[in-house]
Amino acid sequence: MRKNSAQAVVAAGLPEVYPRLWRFCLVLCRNRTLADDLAQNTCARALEKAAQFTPGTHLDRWLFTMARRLWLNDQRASKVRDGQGVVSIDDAELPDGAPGPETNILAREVFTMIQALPEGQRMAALLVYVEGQSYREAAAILDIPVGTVMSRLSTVRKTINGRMTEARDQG
Amino acid sequence: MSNSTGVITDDALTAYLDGEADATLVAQIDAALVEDTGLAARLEALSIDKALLQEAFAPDALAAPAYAPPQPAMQTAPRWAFPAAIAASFVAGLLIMAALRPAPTWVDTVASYQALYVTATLSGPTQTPDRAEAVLQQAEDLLGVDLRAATAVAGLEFKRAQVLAIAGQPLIQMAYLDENGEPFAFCVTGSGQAADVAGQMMSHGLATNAWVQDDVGYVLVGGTDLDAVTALSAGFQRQL
Repeated sequence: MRKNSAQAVVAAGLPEVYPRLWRFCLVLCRNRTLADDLAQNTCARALEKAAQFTPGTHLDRWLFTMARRLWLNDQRASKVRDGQGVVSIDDAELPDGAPGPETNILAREVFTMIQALPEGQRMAALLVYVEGQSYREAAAILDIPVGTVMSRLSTVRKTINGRMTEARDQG
Repeated sequence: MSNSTGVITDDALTAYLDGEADATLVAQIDAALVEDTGLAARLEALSIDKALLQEAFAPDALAAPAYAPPQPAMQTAPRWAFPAAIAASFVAGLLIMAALRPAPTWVDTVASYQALYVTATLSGPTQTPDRAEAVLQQAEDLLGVDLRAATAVAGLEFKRAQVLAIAGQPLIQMAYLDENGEPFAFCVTGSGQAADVAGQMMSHGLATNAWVQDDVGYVLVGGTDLDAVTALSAGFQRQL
């Protein structure tokens, strides 16, 4: 009974959370195709493991945590599979999936700046500044101490502030 | 507690700006701000425009896709591929039982995947040349073969390339539509199984034609006409 209701809650909640889950994946993978796959794989896994979800808790955080674990496992597997000769997607591709030209040019620059940051920093920025999660919630999703979230965000703030000032001065 | 700015770190200022500082820290920073203009400058240097960030990452601005229920073991098939999947696995089951075939070959695996493709799977925008190039460069690194010419083969419109894996080995899949909108896939792998299959055969209801060159296995799969798939294969063999 409980299992069925958790499954129903997960299945019913996925469509609403999906665009934000996909965005989480895009910030993680920095590539639209990989983000599509990761978001889909996360949904498949979520439906499989739906019995482990506690209805009434936050489906988005549960999915984010799951997506990140799947991504890490996949990264590990591909390292084993590919040996050392292969350049990771991270190094090979420039940030992908930027907002279209109808979006404010400064916003597009901010997207590129955030996506150029190291993974830990851009994930913390997404969760706290875009998703509006607290430090504690972001720390739980990223499986890091709260102090680490704070220090990553401090670095993000310094970097973005400096580049925005430069961009404005040049513009 | 000191009100000297020396002990107020950027991390603490960040927590203050983010509304995550506890009451003691807030009081300390508020007090220090009154006396120390340098601290105000440091706060200024940490300020960011969160509204701009939210605008930059708005799902609409990013054209985030809508949810489509995932298919088991097949991540990219849309929901209406279900009937095709059920039909394909039923046909496959019958074929396997009838032929009492041993383990499926890599070509069977590719065909079972391709059986879930319909026109609409590929009718969206073609992969950008940059992205296709990135995948094909990866293919060259992984398999040592240059597949770029396979983006321009007579009779087939190239749609996208992606890196998959079979038995833990890289498998490059290039997807096409023919003139009638029939989906085709050209797949290449260096897997040990690759050398086991060559020639034309039906698999999972689809026509396939496989060949091996320098220990790399190639297959073209799509449609139901074995002669047609073999003729199209010749285009690939000439180009590569």
